[in-house]
Amino acid sequence: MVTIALAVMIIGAFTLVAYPYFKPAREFDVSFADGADPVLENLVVQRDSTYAAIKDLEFDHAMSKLSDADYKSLRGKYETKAVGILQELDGLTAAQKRRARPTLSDEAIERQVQQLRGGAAKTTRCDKCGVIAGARDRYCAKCGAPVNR
Amino acid sequence: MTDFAMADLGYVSLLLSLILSLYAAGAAFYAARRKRPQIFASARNAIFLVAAFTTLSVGVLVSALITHQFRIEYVAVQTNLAQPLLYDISALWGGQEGSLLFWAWLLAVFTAVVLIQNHDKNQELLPYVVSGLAVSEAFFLALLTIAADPSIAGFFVALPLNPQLAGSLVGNPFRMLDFTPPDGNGLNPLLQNPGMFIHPVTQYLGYVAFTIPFAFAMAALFTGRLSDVWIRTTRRWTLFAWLFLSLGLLFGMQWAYVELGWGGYWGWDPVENASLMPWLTATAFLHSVMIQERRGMLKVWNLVLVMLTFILSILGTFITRSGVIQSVHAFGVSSLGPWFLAFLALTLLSFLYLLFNRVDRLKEENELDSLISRESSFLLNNLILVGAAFATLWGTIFPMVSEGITGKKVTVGAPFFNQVNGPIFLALIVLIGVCPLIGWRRATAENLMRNFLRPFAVSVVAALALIAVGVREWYGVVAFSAVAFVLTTIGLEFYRGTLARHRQYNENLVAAAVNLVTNNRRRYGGYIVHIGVILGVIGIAGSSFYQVDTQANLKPGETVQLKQYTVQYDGLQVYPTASHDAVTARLTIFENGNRVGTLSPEKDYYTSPDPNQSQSTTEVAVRTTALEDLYIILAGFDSTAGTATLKVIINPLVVWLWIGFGVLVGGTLIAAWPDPREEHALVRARVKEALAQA
Amino acid sequence: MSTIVAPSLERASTIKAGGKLKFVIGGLLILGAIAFVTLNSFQSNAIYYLTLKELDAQRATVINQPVRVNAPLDKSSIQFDDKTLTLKFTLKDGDLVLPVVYTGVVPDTLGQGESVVAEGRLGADGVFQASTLLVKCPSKYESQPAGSSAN
Repeated sequence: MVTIALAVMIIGAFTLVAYPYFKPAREFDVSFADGADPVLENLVVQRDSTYAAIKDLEFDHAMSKLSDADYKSLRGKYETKAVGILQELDGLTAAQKRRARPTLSDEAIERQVQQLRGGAAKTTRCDKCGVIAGARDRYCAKCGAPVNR
Repeated sequence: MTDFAMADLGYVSLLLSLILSLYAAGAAFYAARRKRPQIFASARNAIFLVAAFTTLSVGVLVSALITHQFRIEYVAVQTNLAQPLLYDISALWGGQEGSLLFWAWLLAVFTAVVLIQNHDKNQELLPYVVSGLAVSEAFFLALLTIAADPSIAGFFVALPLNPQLAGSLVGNPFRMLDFTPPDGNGLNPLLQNPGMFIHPVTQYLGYVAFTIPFAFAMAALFTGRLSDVWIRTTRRWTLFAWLFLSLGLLFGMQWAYVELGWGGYWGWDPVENASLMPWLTATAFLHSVMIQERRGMLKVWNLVLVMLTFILSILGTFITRSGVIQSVHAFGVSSLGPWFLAFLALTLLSFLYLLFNRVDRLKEENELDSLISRESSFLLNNLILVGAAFATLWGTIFPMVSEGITGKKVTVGAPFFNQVNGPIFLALIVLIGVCPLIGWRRATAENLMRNFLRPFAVSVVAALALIAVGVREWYGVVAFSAVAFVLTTIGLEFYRGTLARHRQYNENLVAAAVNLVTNNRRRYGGYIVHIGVILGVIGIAGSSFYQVDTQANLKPGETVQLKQYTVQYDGLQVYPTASHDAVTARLTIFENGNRVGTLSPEKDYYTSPDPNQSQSTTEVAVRTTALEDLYIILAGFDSTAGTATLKVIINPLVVWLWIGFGVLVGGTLIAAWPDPREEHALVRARVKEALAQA
Repeated sequence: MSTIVAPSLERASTIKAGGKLKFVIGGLLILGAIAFVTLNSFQSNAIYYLTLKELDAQRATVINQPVRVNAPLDKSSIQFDDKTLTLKFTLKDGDLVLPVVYTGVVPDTLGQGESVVAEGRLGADGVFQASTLLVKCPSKYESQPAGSSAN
């Protein structure tokens, strides 16, 4: 009884481990890459942390932990930085779009997301320049003004 | 199934798991280097099989424990016919072999969960994560199997050890005896407490879960993908591990409080220290990752902290398992020590090697804006926490070190740890209060003045009030006014945040308060954790500074007085139960002359045919109020004369320690709760993928 | 871009210059303080951890000094007065014998103890006054059934 159970265990384990070797590589959805290249990823991380920094500044200022003068100078500093990153990101993504297969526009994706979530497609536009903002964007990607929703 | 069949099934499952883990470690690594998806798929299958086989092995051991297959040595040692079923099950982690199996099982299941969680994410990191986790898994499986076999590995292990130990090499939980004992020894009576179900389990969950962030850190180092992706990916694992390390501390303290009968919950025992140290470094890690996420700084430091936490977790088990340090918790002296040391050394060396190879990619993206800023207060918090961990480590392992170097053994006890950690933790408490008052990046004197004024005033008032009601000890005044300071700052933080929201979004105050927390879960969850910690500090300060006790030998009807309590001794009661004989002192408690209830402290006698196995346990009786615990031990009795000797202790404010932990758990859950925005991003990514393929 | 205030670059650069040094000095001061407290209290709290032989050899120097003694327990010598909670027993290593007195709640494991770690002071009368006891069992939470052997 036990001998049979052990035999089944061993053979079963061997089969499961060996099985993938007999399938062609294209059947596996494994690319060993995270999609984004490190430069892009780094920029995105920097952009997000700069946004977070600006949000923190606003919060600290609202809670009167930052003086008006400090708030203005720090905010200016981070906004300049954010704009720099965004410009760099724009250049980079344009170059990558040319390289990679045609990707979809953010707006198309956004509509799909909204449909999947059961809501009607609703887009938010920047009050200042009218550019459509992404669902998570806190600041307009074009002019940098805060997005109101 | 026969006992032999069960043992074979369990043991072969472990051996297969070991082989599969080693295979998965190698295959995942090779697959990533050569970009061979088939091989990685094969490694994934191997990992799932390890999870299945270790589960099978645990199932076999548990069923052997429940059905009392005494031919299996572990079952004979850990269970007997008299003890309740639940203690039969908890025997899984009650002994050395079983608890190693429990560890290996948790790690195998966690690894499988990581694979499922990341099936479409982190594809570059994942093979190396899997490889690292599989190496760690193989280490524990080797301890359970081949390390126990003198013919394979025993020779190498036994060399540095006392030769007589070689015969008792342990590890295999399915080792058979050459006869079947009629009954087993049973779980040590000291372990027969509800704490036995929950303390080891939570502690192990915490220790083992920390392997996951560490594996991601190593993979990030190895691949050079040193952005904060590994931190974000493992944030919930880190919080999960930290939460369970905290719970492990809590349940360990509660257990010690009611079972060991010395009136305290923390004795700076080496094993207690071993569970505190990774908690301290993990706490430092939780704080410093925020700096990396926000500012792209402290990259090396975060890697070092996660490594330290992992190493200290392993060191904790090493201390418990090896018997090298005297401790109330120590398992028997075993031959596993060198294995643990080798594993620690290997981990440390490979970490350092990778770190030095990657140091060029670890440059900081920002610099600190100002010496007085939230960032530098986080840095300070990290220095203090790591300093406390090292001071504790120093006191814990110094006996070993001094013996190795000078041949003389020098030790330190509780006074050392209190003297060192007292001021360190006081500084930490003050910092908890100061931190929210300081903005990110920069604070000015003017702002500081404005923000500090009220909390500082409250703490001064608290100090004066304490002195007015007769508290004279400076340490009590300092500790409690620090507590008042911190609670005020956190309260102000909630108050101001709510007001700001109220003004900004026109929400009513209740909605504003709720939205404040739900929209800033990490920040306010963190503050709630801080409140929990401060409540805990109230309990610790009260019970360590203001404990009073007395003892008395009483005849039935006599009383003993301690502060406002009168304890009346009504007589002894002796009765047998299935597993032990109980001796109970029946007491009536009066507070200021009014009868408030009864208590019955107890001594239990577990007899065994072998007199060396007979043992007593002390079950204390506790009456808890918000202000203090009345804690009574039946320290001695004379059953013929009917007299009893009672030790009566008043432990002020202890209940706040337990309440504080409850608040801490709540705050952690709030901080870890999934953020809809993150989910939105995930849906987005999925849609993008699906559309791109269409 | 109208919302953006010109950054005060001068200020930022003055903060950066010498910024690192401040942090390094501050960090070292704190670590130094922690190290100082640790070493200082270590010296005032360190106690020798001795076997009975070592205790006997250094008898003159350790009298009335706090020490920890680790020695085998002579179980037959255990006497407990339940009225005063006074525990008396002797530690025995070969020919060396050390009488120990301890007052308080007796550790539950004493009955199975093989050896005892006692912390306290050796009096001039040769009796060791213990303040804490740690009982060592041959295998505390593990025990081998009689006649067992590895398979």
